[in-house]
Amino acid sequence: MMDQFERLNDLVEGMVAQRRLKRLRLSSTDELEALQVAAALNASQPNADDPSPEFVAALHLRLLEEQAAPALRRTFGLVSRRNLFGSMAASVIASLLAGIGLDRWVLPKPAEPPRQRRWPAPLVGDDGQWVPVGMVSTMPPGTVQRFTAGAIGGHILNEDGQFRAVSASCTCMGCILTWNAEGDEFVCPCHGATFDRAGAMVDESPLYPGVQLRRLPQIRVQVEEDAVMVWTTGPIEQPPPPPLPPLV
Amino acid sequence: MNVTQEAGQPSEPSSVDHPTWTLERVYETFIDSVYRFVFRRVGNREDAEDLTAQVFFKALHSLEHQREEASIRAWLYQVARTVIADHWRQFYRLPAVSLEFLPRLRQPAPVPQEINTLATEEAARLLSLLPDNYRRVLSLRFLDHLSIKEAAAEMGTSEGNVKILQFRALRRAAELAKGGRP
Repeated sequence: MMDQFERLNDLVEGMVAQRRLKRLRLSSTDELEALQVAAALNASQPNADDPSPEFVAALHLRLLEEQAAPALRRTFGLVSRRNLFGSMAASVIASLLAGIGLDRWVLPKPAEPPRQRRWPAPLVGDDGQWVPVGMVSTMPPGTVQRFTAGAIGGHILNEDGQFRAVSASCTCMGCILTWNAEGDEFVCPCHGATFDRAGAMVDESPLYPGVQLRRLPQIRVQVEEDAVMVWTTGPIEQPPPPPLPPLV
Repeated sequence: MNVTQEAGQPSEPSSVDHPTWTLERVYETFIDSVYRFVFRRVGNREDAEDLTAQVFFKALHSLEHQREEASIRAWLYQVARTVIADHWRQFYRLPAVSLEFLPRLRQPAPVPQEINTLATEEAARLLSLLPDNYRRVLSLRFLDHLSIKEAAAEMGTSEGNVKILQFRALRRAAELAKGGRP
């Protein structure tokens, strides 16, 4: 049987290595207090107590998933919370919601009873609107142009005269994709995954080998005279922002 | 990640009209301080991350959003205390665990050079109150991060003795800390 010196030292070893402590059963309050002093000493070095950026980002994402879960359950009607969190799909969907600006705590208005929340609507439902994001005359075939309209950020593409738009949020964690004209692909600045013009993943992220990312969501586009419009939702700036210069 | 900033979103809450706090704001405002609060009490990164996550998940589900900043902070810290107490109860079941003693040490004492690297004055003062060999073993283990083997070599004793010395030093420190309570 392990004596108290060994047991405490076992715990201290984990502590010094910044690892989760083994859940050893202590035999007295003396031991527990010694362990707590060890914790305080181990935490007392300069800068040891800053959270890592990775942790801060990852927890943020988990909270967004949790926040989105009821809406996802309602939408898909089949995933339990446990399954949902275990699945990659949850991350992907949550990041989509996050990427289009719905990553806010949707709060009860003061007039509403507490605890009642409004949940994000599907990507863009019937309550969207057409918003101009560019001009046909400034977007020759081959153009790929970034836009932000309401809550939606995307890229609009002129494919031989046919305009299409895809979401600019990576389906991994919602990072904003950049267009790499040389490689003819969208690149995720966070983890390096790439997507083709149609939004399908080309290269997986080198950081997450074997993970197949979802297609980038498509955004409806229509052309009205010289205006290229996308179907979007969320607060629309008035007047709409001027189109950005073409990237290619 | 927000592509656009929502119009009409107040940038600062006003205490007059019962501001609501978005998850973004609660998280951005308090993640660092809550994490530090937890870390300083559990002493390792991984447990601190787990427990900090628990605090914010509870906040997501239970925190009333229409509060003032001080009230939000107090709520988060109270939850953090509960979560930390539950954490320690996994090691030893106690009716109430509260060892918030480091910040409460009162006795002033000169701080030897070797422990001046400690971030918290309270911890440095605590070490300074210990007999030399106790202070030495804790400094070697927690400040210099020497292994038991290295510490034994440094102190010219056996590994078994270092473990015993370490235990007794931590016990003495705990007694001092408790004695320092108001």
